Amino acid sequence: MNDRPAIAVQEVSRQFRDTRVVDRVSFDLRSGGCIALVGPSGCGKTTILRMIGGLDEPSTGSIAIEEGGAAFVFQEPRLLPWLTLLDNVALPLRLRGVSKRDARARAMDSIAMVKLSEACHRTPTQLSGGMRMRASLARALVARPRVLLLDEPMSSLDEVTRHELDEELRELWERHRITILLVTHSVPEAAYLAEEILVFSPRPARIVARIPTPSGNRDASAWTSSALNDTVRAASEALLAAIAADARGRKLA
Amino acid sequence: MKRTRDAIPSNNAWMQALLAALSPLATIAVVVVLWWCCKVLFEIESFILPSPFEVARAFADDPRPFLIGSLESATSAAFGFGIAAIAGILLASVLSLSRRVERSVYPLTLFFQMVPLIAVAPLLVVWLGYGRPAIIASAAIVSVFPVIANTLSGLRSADPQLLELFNLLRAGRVRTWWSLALPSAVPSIVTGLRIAAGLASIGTIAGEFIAGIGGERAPLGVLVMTGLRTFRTDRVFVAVLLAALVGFVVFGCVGLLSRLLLRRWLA
Repeated sequence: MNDRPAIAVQEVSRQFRDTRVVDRVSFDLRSGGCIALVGPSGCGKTTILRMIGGLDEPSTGSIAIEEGGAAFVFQEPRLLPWLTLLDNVALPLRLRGVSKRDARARAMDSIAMVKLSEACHRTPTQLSGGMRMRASLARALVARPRVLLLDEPMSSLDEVTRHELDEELRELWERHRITILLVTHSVPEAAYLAEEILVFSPRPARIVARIPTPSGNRDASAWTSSALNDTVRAASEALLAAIAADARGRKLA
Repeated sequence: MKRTRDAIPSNNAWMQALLAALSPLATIAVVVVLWWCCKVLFEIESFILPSPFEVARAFADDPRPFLIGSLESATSAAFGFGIAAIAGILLASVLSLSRRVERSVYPLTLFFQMVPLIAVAPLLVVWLGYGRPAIIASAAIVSVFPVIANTLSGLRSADPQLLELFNLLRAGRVRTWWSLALPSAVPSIVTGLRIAAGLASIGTIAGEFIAGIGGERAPLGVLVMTGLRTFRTDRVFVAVLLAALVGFVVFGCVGLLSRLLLRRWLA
């Protein structure tokens, strides 16, 4: 067994000119695990994800990530409007020089994983919001990454679609044991998907609570289970306390 | 017989399409009538202003040279446009790959825009001789700048979020150009090509004034000059009108092609 974590974040801070956005954040994510980062919007949790994904550099501290590559799923689907769903999903492979045939074949597998096979020849404008997000997820999965970084992927979706996609994401994670790091502002979503919730303070982002979620399989009824509700309450309370403390600090200053 | 409900609206749509096609023709008819009225009312000499009928007769009496001339000019314009399109897109693409190269070369392409074609055309004769190559070069020179300018701005218009995605996927510069910047630029490139199509036929006629060869296969520009020299203003009118028609046809073809191309982008 490999005991080294898939992602190791140590004392990471990020400073943009005079503003500190991330303040000495440390956590480990085990290989095959799933952690959710929860915090008020604009607190800097996306910056943490971007630094892990290599889109940004920490000012101090270090980040180690498992070899084999991480795939990023952005808040927006970011599909190329002139390509079909199939070719959008095949894009990461095509950019690595995989032949069109092989790339498309592997893209089809990935599209099947997110249950979009029927729609593979449509262009993004012909897809619904939920389908676009699935497509974006399929594109992230196509290169078989070890680590999946999700940046509020569901935030633009309606409640029903969101639940549906959360359930499928959980299923994907349970079946394929991909390491997932999820940024979200929905506490129930975090509790449903992750093994552990890290609650962040308002900017600069600091970890104020680490809350483990109940283990075991989740089905659709898990959303309303009492164990999950306790987790949601604990995380929400930690989040509200952090926001209140921040507001008090501002008033004093 | 059963009549569908939308029979009447679709009839109306037909009428509307017909009206849309007829109204520019009606405007042309009005202009022709006005032209004829001026000629008759002010008793203008035919070598200054021939009547519409005289112009029509000049064409009908001897259509062959005009048809050949139109074909010659259209061919030159098409070649000039093609060269400008390919060279313009390639040059703009090379420029867009490096900021430094762009900053040093772009002013030079501006020079192409600023230089008066009539002043350069004699040089083209010196370098390329009389005839088609110089005429094509003249058409290409005037029409290349809008292609370069529009392609450049289009290549720069790629969505920053998608650029970040390509960056994350470690796409090289050339791949990013081919798979992201160029497709993003298609709408602007098409705009540039439309402008270039109009300019190419102007460049062709101007080139023919200076580098055109007379005789059996004289192009429209040369027919204009011969008409002037022989005081056949009616023939000048025919050639000018045909030159405008050639411009329309080139412009129309490019417009049609670009619409087909854009359907995919704007869908």
